[in-house]
Amino acid sequence: MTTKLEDDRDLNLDADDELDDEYEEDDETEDAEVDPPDEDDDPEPRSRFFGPRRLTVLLGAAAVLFAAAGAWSLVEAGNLRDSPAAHNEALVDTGRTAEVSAAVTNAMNQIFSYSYDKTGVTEQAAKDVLRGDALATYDKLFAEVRAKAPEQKLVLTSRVVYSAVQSLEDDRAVVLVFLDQAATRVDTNTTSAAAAQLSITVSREGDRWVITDMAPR
Amino acid sequence: MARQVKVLLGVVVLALAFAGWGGWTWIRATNDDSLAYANAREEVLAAGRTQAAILTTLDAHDVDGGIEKWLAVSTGGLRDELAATDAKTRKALADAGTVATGRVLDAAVSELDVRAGTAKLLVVVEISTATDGSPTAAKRNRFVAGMSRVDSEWKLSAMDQVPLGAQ
Repeated sequence: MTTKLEDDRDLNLDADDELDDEYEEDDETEDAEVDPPDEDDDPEPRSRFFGPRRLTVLLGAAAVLFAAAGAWSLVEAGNLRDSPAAHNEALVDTGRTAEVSAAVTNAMNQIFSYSYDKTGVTEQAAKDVLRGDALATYDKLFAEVRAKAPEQKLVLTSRVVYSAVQSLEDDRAVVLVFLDQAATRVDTNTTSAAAAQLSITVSREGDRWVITDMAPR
Repeated sequence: MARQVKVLLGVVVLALAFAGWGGWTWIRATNDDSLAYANAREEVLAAGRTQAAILTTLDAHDVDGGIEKWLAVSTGGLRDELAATDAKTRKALADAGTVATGRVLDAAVSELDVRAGTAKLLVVVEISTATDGSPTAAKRNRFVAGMSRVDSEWKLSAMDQVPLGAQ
């Protein structure tokens, strides 16, 4: 860094000025830094490009720039990882997706299959796997079946024909299922069929999934 | 060299290291396969929802325009099938005077192969119809939709209603 000015060699004031600066930066002990004429009366003349003040500003700017770039990159990376899509493991975690899909399929097939002479099986399955709102919805959906079953000798069979996991987090998942339902009246020997679509919300309870909400779609 | 400058140099080196770390973290996030897959899933779902609604919507007053929209969101066999709608069918649709409007109630991706560029979706669509201005009951339909990636855009390649006893 050249900070000294030993003389005013006007001859040196030419296009090579900058080259001199660069050269002299490597050799601090060397003298002869030349300022342009208009700075002649500066009480502390210094290099045009590498004076301490200028260097301080440059280094400071570089530090701020790098720090900002780092911070911006981290924010961008955080945005990528924190998006709702990133937290949703549906299909991403194939094992758990298949597991939750199978759990919901089994539960649906059991709780929506009903035989007038074996009502206990269905009631037990429903009590096992349904919680809270899901239980209330189920009771509402099933009230009619329960009321008519003994008289009509009703047999209801439900089968999940398609299922897809919509969202999957650590302890919660939403599964869309398409159900085929067949209701047979043994007393008149007539069968009717119906299609149903349900959005099923499940929660992790211990090592299994329980149904916390059911919404017809 | 002034002490101040040395300290500043140190700060610059630290800031540079920080920038490098941030950049590396960012690059890792953008190249994360799971993240890319999750984003593709959302993209497929969003496209599927929009396109399923378009494909279940038709205004008898603008049959040609409606079919144009169908063609814009479909590809492959489905598109060929729709494109083959002949003048007679178009006229019949127009004469019926029915305005059908599809609204997607729920949808979920059941299969996604990003490498092959294929996906399968379950879609529940409520189709409300009105003939000559008087509305009739809305009907809920369930579909299995196939999607294919065409020039980095996902389009419907199949839209099959799921009848009872389909499987």
